[in-house]
Amino acid sequence: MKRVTIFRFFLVVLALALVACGGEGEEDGHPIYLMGADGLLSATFFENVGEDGLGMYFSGPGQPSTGAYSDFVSKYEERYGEGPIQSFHARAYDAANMVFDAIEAVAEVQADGTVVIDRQALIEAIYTTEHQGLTGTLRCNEFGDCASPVIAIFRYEDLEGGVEGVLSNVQRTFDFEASESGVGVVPAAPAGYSVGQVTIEPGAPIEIATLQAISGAVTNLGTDQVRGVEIAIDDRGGTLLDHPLELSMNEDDLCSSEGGTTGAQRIIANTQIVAVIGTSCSGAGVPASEALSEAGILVISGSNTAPVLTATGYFSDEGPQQGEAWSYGYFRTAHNDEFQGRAAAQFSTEDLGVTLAATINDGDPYTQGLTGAFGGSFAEFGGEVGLATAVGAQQEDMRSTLTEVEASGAEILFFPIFEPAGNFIVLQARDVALDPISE
Amino acid sequence: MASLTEIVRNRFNTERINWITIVFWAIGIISIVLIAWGSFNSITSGRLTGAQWRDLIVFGLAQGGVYSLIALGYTMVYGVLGFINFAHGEVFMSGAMVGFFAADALNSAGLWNNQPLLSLLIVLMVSMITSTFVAVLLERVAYRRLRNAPRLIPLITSIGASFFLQYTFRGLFGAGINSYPRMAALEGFINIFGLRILRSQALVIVAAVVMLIGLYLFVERTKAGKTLRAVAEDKEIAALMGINVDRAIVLTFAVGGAMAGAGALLYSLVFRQVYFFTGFFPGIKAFTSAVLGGIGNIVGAMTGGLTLGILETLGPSLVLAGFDIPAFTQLKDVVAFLALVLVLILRPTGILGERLSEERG
Repeated sequence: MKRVTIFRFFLVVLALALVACGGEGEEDGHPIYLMGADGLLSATFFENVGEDGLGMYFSGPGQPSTGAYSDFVSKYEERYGEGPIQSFHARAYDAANMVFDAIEAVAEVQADGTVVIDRQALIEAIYTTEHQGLTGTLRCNEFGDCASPVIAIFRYEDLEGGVEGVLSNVQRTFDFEASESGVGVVPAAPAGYSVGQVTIEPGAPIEIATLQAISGAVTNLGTDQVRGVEIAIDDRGGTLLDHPLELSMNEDDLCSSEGGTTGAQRIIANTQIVAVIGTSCSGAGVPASEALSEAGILVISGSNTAPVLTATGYFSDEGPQQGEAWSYGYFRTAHNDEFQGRAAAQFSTEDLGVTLAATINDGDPYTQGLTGAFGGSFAEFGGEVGLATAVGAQQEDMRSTLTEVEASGAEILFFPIFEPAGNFIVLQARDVALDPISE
Repeated sequence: MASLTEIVRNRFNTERINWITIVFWAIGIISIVLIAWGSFNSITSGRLTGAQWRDLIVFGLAQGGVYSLIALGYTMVYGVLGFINFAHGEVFMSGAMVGFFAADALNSAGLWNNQPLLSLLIVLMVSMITSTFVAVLLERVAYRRLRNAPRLIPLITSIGASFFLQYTFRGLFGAGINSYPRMAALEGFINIFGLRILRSQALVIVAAVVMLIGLYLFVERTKAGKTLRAVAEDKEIAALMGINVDRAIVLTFAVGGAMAGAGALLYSLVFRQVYFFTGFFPGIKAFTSAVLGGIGNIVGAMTGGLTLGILETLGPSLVLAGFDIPAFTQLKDVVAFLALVLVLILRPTGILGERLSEERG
């Protein structure tokens, strides 16, 4: 058959299909609340979605309101010429300070000024020491959760305000009491754990590393935290125990498991690294925490929130159980997403009054953990998740997914994903006769 | 007891059948049955209304229009030089990125919304010129010396060129995502024959169709087009006939680049976000469309593009949902590439057939 004939045949089939669908579409959009999470609390997200995102809600880490925090923000602005670009800077700052305090506590300073740090003692110090930070009192439990979770629900209403505007527009704060279970308890080290010491010669720097998302679409998430660590170093005057204190490796976790693995391996190859502040993304955190834990390197993350990395079951009757991806020596100063999912679900049912939700994740441990926690809590509060689906992280055309969301009749769409996928969802929502509520 | 192979051979009276062919036929039949079954379930379950199905088809068409335009570059280069130019996705990306700067400048000058038609034309020109320039540059720098090398060499070079371009753009313009400004004239819906379509998508479909027809006429009816076809058929004989082969090849790349540039603008109108990595996936999908429709063949690129666009958008909701697969909406790429695999198994030359070998025979 001649080529052009086949092509014409194809066009005819297409036309018939379109006619067969028929039907008048609804003229009015179907109203729906949009709720994202901390992955989208980034300066570039608001720049890119502009007006289309107005009225959107976000769940995320509650920002402190103390004087110490305002001082921190002033230092940040002075040093970097702009305000914080994401929401985890204070938690990274606290993580760095926990590391420095622990080093001071366990390091053995010899007569000539050589500092010897026993890796296992350093890790045990974190498990057993209470720390006062910008984000509150940090007490680590045996699973590595150190924060007393404060989750805030923010709303984007100020077009010019950017991230700072959103972070200061709090709709409701959920201050969960930290579970007492396992606090101050040192878990059993893995069998055969023998990781030695770090010896720092006189005059040599005490080295720490960061493993954060500093490139690509989520660059703000990592860069914001690296800045928090740098400010923490500045606050110590750049020295610790009379040695220079240096952030000597700034690795990229690529917000993916590949990045986490390679970054961790590079860090392990440098035997002078005492501790790591990282990773940014839980997807990178899973392999990185495992590798670094085996090497005995202390890891504290300021933004990993996936429950599997520490413990799950905080709201269950049996209490928290060790997560599948738990590692000895891995800690976090950020909240566990079981709390964030619960806060989001509680806010949706109590404050927004919705009962039917749709969730979208992108297959990564953080997003899956959070939509799972949301779904579970949402059901407990009397709602129903009508559509729990996913998109690819690099997917650009969200319209078919959004059509399914519209078809499910959901009253709220919870999509705790990252840029650029989150941007596409917001930008394309109106194309499928969804009417995001902006008042 | 005759074996299955012999039975089939006797029945169909041919020697070319062997057990592999039977396996492929079985795959084809099973696929068709599964697709029909899944679709039947989806449609009868009433999960989506007729209007929503129609919307999905239109989304697929708009997506497919963009893929077609990019696929043209792949198919023309393959037709003339016999290798896949993997850097073509980056040719597309360069048009989109530079077009963004033009659009941003027009927006700051207030022209973007006040003079939409003029602005679109300006950005279209900028985008097409950039893409053409990058494509021609690629040919000159990366591929010309490799004209007589085994086909695999320029292919690998193109992969290298693709990475080079991506990271050059990243170095020059940063890793951040750039958002095209909204155009008020393209907001909202338009009613055509009772169908309610997004204005931006209607524009994309119409523009894509116009460009495709324009290109088809150019290749079939003009002298320059004839030169391209001649060089595609047989480079040596064409040279003997007095055709400047080098110039024809540059023209091929230029036309492919221009089409990609147009595709870049249309993509930007529909998706509005571009960054250095934007060319990667559309490039792969466009290459898939070109193969799907028949590589080396322009009408094939068009068909393949539209088909892939519709399969991708409609596939998960139509077929996969019918089997109650959870989170089926993230499987668009699975559907797209499965379609490619099935077409290659069942009809290896693509839907419309590969042009090269056909004409030669």
